[in-house]
Amino acid sequence: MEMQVDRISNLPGHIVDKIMSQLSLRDAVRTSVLSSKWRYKWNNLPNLIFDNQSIVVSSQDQTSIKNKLVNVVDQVLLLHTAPIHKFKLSHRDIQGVNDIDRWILYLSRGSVKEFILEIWKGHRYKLPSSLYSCQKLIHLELFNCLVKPPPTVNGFGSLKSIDLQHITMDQDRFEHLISSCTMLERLTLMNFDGFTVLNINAPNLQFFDIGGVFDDVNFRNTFRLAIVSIGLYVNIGYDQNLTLGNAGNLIKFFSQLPSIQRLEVQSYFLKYLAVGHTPGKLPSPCMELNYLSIRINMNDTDENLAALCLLRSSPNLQELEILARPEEQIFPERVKNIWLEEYYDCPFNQLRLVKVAGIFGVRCEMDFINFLLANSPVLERMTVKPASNDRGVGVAEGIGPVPASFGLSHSVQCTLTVDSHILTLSVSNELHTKWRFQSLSSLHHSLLSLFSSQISQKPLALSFPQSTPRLWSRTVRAPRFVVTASAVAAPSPVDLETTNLMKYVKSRLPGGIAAQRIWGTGRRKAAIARVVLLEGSGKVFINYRDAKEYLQGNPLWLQYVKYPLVALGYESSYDVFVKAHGGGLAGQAQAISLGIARALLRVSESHRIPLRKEGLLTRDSRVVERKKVGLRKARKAPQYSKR
Amino acid sequence: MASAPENEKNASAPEKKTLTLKSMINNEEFVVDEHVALQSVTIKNMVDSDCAGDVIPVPTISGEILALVIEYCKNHANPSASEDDLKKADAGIVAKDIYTLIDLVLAANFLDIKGLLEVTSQKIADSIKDLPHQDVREIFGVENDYTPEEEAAVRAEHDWAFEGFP
Repeated sequence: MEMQVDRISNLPGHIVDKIMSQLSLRDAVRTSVLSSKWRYKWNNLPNLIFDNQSIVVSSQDQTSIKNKLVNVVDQVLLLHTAPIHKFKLSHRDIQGVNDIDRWILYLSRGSVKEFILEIWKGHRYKLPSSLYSCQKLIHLELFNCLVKPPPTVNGFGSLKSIDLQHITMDQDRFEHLISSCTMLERLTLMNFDGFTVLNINAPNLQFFDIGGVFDDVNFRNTFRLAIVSIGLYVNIGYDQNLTLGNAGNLIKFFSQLPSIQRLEVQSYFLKYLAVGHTPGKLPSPCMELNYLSIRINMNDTDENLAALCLLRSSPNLQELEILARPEEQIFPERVKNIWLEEYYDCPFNQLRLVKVAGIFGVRCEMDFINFLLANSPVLERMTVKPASNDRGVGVAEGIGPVPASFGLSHSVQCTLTVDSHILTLSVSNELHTKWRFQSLSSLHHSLLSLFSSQISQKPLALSFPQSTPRLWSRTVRAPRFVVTASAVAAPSPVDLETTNLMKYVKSRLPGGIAAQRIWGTGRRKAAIARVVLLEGSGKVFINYRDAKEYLQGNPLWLQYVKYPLVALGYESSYDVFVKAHGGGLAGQAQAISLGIARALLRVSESHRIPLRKEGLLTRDSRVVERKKVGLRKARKAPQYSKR
Repeated sequence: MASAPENEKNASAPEKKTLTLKSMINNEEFVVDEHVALQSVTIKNMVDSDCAGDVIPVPTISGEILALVIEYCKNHANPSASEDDLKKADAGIVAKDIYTLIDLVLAANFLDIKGLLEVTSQKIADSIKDLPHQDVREIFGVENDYTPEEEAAVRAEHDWAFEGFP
């Protein structure tokens, strides 16, 4: 090896610091052994991150793990010289031990700006009061902690961002904390307890993301709040209807949100909004709202009314997502149909993208879709996803009698997932004019019959050179429609061979299995399974084959595969794509189970606790025991007889 | 653009100013648009304080490195480039051997281009992470001036970080 000049040691100090700060703490500390020049270089690290990568534990014994972790943090804090900018403690083996108190006290004497503490195991950790004297703090993130600031504390003067998950705090202290952080811009709250009324008084708040169980939410002075995502995780009963004076929750909620831009109404929060009097329109419309996502029970009149009110008050909407709660819609009740009456007074002049998911094809839902189609002149794409496969045809037929006046200036692409054929219907017209949609609906039917009889593998194009100009076609020339529909093969092994299924799976996984967002790897015995989850309807594909066929219809193995999704109630919201190799079918099935569970963690970290409870995150480390010399098998001794 | 082609140079001069960067190591010259070059805070300060002539001399940076820097600036001066494209282009620029990277990080430091400094130092960090320290020494050519006893003592001090390494 030729001897090269040592140039990295002579780099300017701040560049070395920069390179060091990109390394994990462990790698940075290891540079001390390079040469005497490097011995103390890591002491200038601005960010101290103690997580699973930076401290690797090999032992199984809880006490020795704890002692080791405590020693490492103690030692690093003692040797470190430069001011600490960011302190993160998130190791899976740390519990809420008293040593953390000491570290926080040490940090509070410095000028730490970001503090992140995540306790993965054990009880909530009670934060020491010294934390509340970190006046320079900008970002605070806590997981599984008991937050109890002493009443005399003045709050964090420069704190801009709070992220609290799985925390316990009492009502007064929560309110005091929020209102005393005057600079607060971002607030995230997930799975909290100890307080049930969210009184948010934060003049600089811009981002608000909350999910949990609460009774009421009140905003005060939140005039800059732009991004809101709220999920109420419990189904409030009807009789809980509080006797509110004149204003319902909807008016109250929006009165302090004049500059809202993105809103996500998750879980059961629409139920909360629908309590009390719902007006036809909000007193002051949300002029800046451009993204809206609502989870709704389409069979509930109150919820429909609240959604309608919201839609009518959002004239500048660009993107809309409507997610049905299928679990509540199984028993359709008679609902007052409100979507028909309101056709003409609510134009969405900027609405471009619409997604509707989880619907059953009942009257009300179809009317809602038609309501959107009728009022969205610049719609570019609408995606409709039925709750289950057999409902798809009903949905497609329901859209048939679309209102006659359907004004378009661009082209519309309407994607329907029908009985696991993906039917893309794109319509473009050359003239900027209104057209008769009736011809399209008949086309729709003909296409459907085509699909149900036989599946064509290549896209087919149908063109309609002319349609009869009717009353409202102002133009002399008749518009020309070009309708293209492409079908992707269905995953039923009965009438399709594997190549089609392979094509279908590949079309769902652009860029291959490694390029997907929600993935996990599971192992069991000699089997390895790579798993990808995509939003869908609960289909499972293993090595380009249907799961039932691949696992030879064995109910136990199929049960293994389905279990993680069932445990979280996702059995019909994700499609699972697996590449499995090694081992036998039983091992592969269990490997897939682990893979799915790990992939679900990528969906949300909050799944960890339920999955852990079910034991789905544990790698089953049992394997065949080796054969021993002098024995027949691992433990079986050769037969012997006394005489 | 109605003017005759021979006037083009004069006509376009006021709206699109160019600067010439000259590497003082091998005297290579590069002509770049002003808005591209101004991503370097150092050059911006020079232009703002009017101490830049027609040719801006760049000491200590070789032509080959300067070409990379200019490529980076051009990519990032293009307002229509998407985030993903930029990331890919950056990855292409820093896919070099460690010595080029060190030259590049020094150049970025001298010219004060924050984004380039970030991606190159990240790349250097990536190239040594999870490697045993003996390999790191070899990659950078760091000379070990510890005696074996001293080295063992430093290691023992941080034994937790060396678990799993020879």
